[in-house]
Amino acid sequence: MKVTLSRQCFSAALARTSGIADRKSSMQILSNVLVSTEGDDRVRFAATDLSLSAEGLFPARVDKDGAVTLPARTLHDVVKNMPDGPITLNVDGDAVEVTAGRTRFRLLSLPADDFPTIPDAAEVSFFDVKEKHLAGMIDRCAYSISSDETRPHINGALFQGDGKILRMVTTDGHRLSKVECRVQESGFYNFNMVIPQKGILEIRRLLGDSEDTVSIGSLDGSVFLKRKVEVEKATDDQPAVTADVCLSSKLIETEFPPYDQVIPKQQEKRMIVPRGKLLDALKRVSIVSSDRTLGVKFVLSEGAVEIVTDNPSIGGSSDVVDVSYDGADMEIGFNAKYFIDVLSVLNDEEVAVELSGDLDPAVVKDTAGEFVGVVMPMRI
Amino acid sequence: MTGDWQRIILHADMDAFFAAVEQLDRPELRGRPVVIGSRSPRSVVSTCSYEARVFGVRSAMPMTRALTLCPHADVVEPRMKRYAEVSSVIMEVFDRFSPLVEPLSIDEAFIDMSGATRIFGPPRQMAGSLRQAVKEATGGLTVSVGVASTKFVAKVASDMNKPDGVTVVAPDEVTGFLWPLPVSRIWGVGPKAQAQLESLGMRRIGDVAVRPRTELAQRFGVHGEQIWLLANGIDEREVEAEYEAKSVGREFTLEEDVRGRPAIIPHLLRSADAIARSLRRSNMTAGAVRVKLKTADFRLLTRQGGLPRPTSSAPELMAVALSLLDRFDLSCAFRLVGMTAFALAPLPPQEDLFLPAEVRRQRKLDGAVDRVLEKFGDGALWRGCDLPRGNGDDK
Repeated sequence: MKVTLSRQCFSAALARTSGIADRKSSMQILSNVLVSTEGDDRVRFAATDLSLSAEGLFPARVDKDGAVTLPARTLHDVVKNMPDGPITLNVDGDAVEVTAGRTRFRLLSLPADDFPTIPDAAEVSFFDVKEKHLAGMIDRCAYSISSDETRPHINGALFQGDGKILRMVTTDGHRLSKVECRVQESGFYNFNMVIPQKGILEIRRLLGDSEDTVSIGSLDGSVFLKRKVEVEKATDDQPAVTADVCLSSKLIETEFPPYDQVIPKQQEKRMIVPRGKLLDALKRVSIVSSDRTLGVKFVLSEGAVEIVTDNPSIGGSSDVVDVSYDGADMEIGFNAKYFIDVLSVLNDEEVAVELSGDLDPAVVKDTAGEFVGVVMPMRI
Repeated sequence: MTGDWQRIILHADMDAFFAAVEQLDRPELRGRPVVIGSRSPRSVVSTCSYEARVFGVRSAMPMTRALTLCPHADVVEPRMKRYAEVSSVIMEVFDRFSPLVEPLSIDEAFIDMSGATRIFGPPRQMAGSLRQAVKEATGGLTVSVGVASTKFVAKVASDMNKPDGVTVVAPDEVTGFLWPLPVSRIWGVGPKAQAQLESLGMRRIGDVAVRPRTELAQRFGVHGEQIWLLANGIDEREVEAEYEAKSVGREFTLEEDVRGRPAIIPHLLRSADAIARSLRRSNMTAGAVRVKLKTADFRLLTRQGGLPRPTSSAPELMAVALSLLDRFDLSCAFRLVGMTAFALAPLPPQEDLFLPAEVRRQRKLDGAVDRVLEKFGDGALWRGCDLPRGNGDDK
């Protein structure tokens, strides 16, 4: 096998794949990236940790067909440090020569036949969604994914297509977030999948905030995300060079908990709070709250909420935020971090905070009506 | 018995524990040589009754040898779960005598009773009350007790008058008590150290005690110094309780014996209510429940089981207790009904999102009941089934 790629293209290919290669695995081949020819003008790069896989087709000059696997991280470092210009990869027995100009590397390879099969996207029926929509959903939900791998049913995000609505829900058992996005694109969505946390984070890495669309689909317990990436910008002489990249992640098989039952439909008390000011107050006050629980108390009275904490080993603190509230006085405790997290993912000037009893969940809503955050209180 | 008791430490050691439990549960085994272990050729004796010891049978002896010495012995497979149940009853008795109880194994513990003479009397009387309480709580098991002002001497002493005995070693009697004993009695002196000490002319504890401390330290290092200290009756180690409270229990000795499940349940419910309220008051949860019944002829029966989630709610304790009731033979008359919640843990302050709705409702009800009782006193609220009963005995 002998192929030649521009340094930019080669580097982009490895940037999209080498991060997924699993360096810690006991299977050495999982730390390698698969490089194989596809026709006479493209090269496929693929990497997998058996749960997440990424592959991409990148423009190249193919002089001789073939396939080989090379240590992903080393190859990426080599390519990044090559001089500008074309890079040639030439298989010579067990070793691979990587050359650019007068620079030459010899890397040991493992046979391509030993590389695990990457889930095949050919049969997947995809639907399109704007990348900014998908990115925005992940950005507002990812914080409340449980990182507890022993609770697989919540160690991921529920992703649903419900007619014209895309919905994402995450929870860690103490808080929950749900975001809905009404999509204008043609098509009617009907799907239900739980994507593991690692998959969600990789998908997010592949998304920008443009109007461009990406394609999503699922098949045989895996989710696929496909998009075109720009490898070289357009110049006066030539159009932009693009490549097709496809990411796949195994789905979580266990059922997501019945989220709808724990989102309160009707709350007794509602206040409209300036998001930034409440966020700042929480950050300030929680400096001296207990490291372990980060407990703070919200003391509600007409027109104001006071955030208070008492820590017998340090001292205490309080701050007052003016809010729009005319309900009954009440006190309720929270883990400050839970409230800081939910306020941080929103951009609205004002958000609504709805409460009932001091052991009942608090609900945080944005102005657009897309987002619902639920936070369970803490006994203080 | 004189001397200045700076500390009063009891070492309580159950007599032939596993064998005694089997003899308690199976009257046909009483007075017979009982060997706990399996009959398989490579098995060893776990415990044996005193009737078997007469024939020379000992713990850790190969079963084949035990059966050669005592061919007519009853070999009984161990039932560790049952022994653990009885053990927890015994440990609960110890807990009544002192907050400082350090269990050493399933059937022995140190109990620090320093400063309790005004409540329990002088050391010998303390030991007597403890033995009596164990006997009553278990329905007849015996315990041997050593009393001294150090853990080491108390432990050696409990072994002196076995079974069913008490040995009190007052502070000024320590050397007289210890010095004639062989060096192997010192903690940490195994066969190897024993041989080394004996080769240096130290056969008895007194031989070690009169040597210079530095000599022991030079020959055996830190360990040697420890041996010298113990030989001189010096042992500063404290009795270390594992937790503040290990269980919360409530039991009722009834004015009239009860028979059958419907008659037992109201008393269990009373226990569950009291336990749950006590747990909530101290912000604790329980992970498991034990039901305790004492028959009219003073046999103590216990069954225990885990809770699906840690709780401080009576209905959740009660649900497990009711399923435990199925595992008793309820055909006889009972004079005592009780429940104990254990596996205690602090209530986590953070509320859970996915709690079943009925659990959440119960929590709110618990909170409301607690507030009423706090404000108006314990008699302000009671359950319908606690109302003075007319002829509705079956409900």
